[in-house]
Amino acid sequence: MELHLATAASAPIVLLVSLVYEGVDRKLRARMQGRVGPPLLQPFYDLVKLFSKDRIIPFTAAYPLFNYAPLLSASCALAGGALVFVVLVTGLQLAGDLLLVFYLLSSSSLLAMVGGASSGNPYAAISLSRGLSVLLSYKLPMLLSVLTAAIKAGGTLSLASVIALQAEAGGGIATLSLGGALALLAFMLCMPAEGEVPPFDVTTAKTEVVHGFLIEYGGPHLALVKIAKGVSRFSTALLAASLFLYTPARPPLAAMLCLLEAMCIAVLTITVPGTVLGRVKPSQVVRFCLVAPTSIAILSLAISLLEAGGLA
Amino acid sequence: MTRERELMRVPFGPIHPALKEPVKLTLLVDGEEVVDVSIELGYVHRGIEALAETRNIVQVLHLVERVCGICSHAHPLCFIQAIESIGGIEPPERALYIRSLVAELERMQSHLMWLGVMSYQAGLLTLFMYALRVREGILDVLEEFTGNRVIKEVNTIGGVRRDLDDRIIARMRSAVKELRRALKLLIEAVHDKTLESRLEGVGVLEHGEAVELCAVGPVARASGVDFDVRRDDPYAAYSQLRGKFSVIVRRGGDALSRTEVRILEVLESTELVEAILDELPQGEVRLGKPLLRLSREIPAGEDVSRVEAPRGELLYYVRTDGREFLNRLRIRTPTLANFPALMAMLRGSELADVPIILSSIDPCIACAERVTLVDAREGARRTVRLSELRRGGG
Repeated sequence: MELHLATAASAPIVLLVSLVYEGVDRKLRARMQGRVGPPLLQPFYDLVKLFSKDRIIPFTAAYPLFNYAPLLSASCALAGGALVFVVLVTGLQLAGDLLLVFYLLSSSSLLAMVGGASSGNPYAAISLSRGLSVLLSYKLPMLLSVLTAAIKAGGTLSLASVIALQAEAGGGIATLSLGGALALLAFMLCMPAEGEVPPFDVTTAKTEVVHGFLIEYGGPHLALVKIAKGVSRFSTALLAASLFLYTPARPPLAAMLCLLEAMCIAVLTITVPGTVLGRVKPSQVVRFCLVAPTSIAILSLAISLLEAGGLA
Repeated sequence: MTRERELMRVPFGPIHPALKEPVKLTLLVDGEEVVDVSIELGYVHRGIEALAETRNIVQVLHLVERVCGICSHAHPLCFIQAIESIGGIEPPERALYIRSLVAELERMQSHLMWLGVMSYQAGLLTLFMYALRVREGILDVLEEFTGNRVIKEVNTIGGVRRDLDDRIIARMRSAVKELRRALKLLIEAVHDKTLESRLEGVGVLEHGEAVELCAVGPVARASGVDFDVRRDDPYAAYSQLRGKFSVIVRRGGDALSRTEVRILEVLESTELVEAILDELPQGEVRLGKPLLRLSREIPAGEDVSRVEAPRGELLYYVRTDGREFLNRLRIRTPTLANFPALMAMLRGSELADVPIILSSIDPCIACAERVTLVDAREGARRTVRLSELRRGGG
């Protein structure tokens, strides 16, 4: 019961930080492109505007799915992000919460895509088919690198024990062992795909599929999908920070540090590639994800297993 | 027939973020592969050719300036050359040099804008921003010289309307020098791995196809067709400038080759502009007679004129009636000439490549709105509505 309350209470914090990151992202991107860029609070203004608009539901849409998927998607992302945050702050032991976070964040992406595709628009349908293949290709190495961290923490799937291990060892997994560093690398290589930014923004590419599954969404629906995307981007970065780069400190300070690290990770994996790289083709995304991050993740897993075996 | 059911008809336009102007492509898609394509024009038909037949030569000169917002110098230049040849008028040497000068500046800004649009299609917004900022430098000197960024209104019967002074010449030199420096960065950016992988082998047009489908301009030159109106049928001052530039030819025939051709053409243009400024002859820039009297002196006759617009060979057919009016004006824009080649490129391509292929021919839809091309699935049939042609198209 307390966990539920704590998660619900931290959801607004996660949302707030995610939106701040989005503002930073847009500003940085603009500066790199030689533009002035929007004000830092633009994402907030956008949401206020979108929520004040009417909802439009195309008559070809499968109503319940189209209407509720954005809400579910945003809730899943917020729950996932808030869960990581709660564990960070309180150090609460929860068996299998790593898998739960992973599941929630994946569901969030999936729900947004399925909801959009249920609009009956052919572009959204193409976007969904692209999105599913991309999702499968980057979730695998991501999960493998999460497992590496779990193995390091003695084979538990609880985020708190991974954090406890790092607190004990006095540094992040990525800074302590080769296997951990490789796992972080694999995880970060997947992040542009998870965040749907160039070079991997094939699902929402404006010039190819007209914003893909977002095409029929507007107003509050779009606001919710945007929240889902922004929060899951940031939550993934937060997960990476707490799994691999946790800096031991007193609880509130440690959580703050993690948020800051997550911000840096997000800038490195979302903002920078989104600015300096062009978009590749869907087939190239899948090929890339199944080759580079996957092989690195498998390597890191193998190294970690060896290291774990050596210790025992 | 059962196969037909698996194919999806994806409308591409007339309103689409990848399009800057309305044109409708209907793509028949099998998964991600484009099986067939049909192009429908007519959304921005403006009736310019028909309108031209109701106006006198001087008015038409201003009208054709507005056919295209990018090559707004190539059109009047082509038109005025036909008129001058009918009237047997020889503009002064200095005027010819200025015409070439503005044409080259126009080519640079057009190609730079194209590079921006192309990288936008490939999802590389940063290069779009850079390319358009570099382009501003050229637009600035054009504005300083002609008074306008887009509608330059330089040409007149028997010469040009403005003369260069030393200040403008110095400004142009520094702008070109700056452009050349910025171009190095842009060339590097184009050879970035992700962008290159998006362009290489995409939308291939074989040499034979390019010849058979009468592709023009950079599209043809990227497929190994060594043809440039500036060299092979010189106009304005290009016959004197022959040794000052080379025609860029690539054999790849893909989007990457077309990109290379255009970027290197910008470099060639910088050389040309400097050569023109160096060799600029002294003297008048137009004939001493008033424009209206000159236009009345044009006899009845007909002529075909062509220039190398940024997008390729632009062709004008003009028939005058001897009383300062036109009997017929026919405009064949390079984009129209490249549409059949575009269809050949699109067939068999991936859906993700369609915007790239489309913009790789640098389409200018509004300029090309002359005829209706309908490509049916069976046997690539093309129909041109004769009634429209007879009425004057435009």
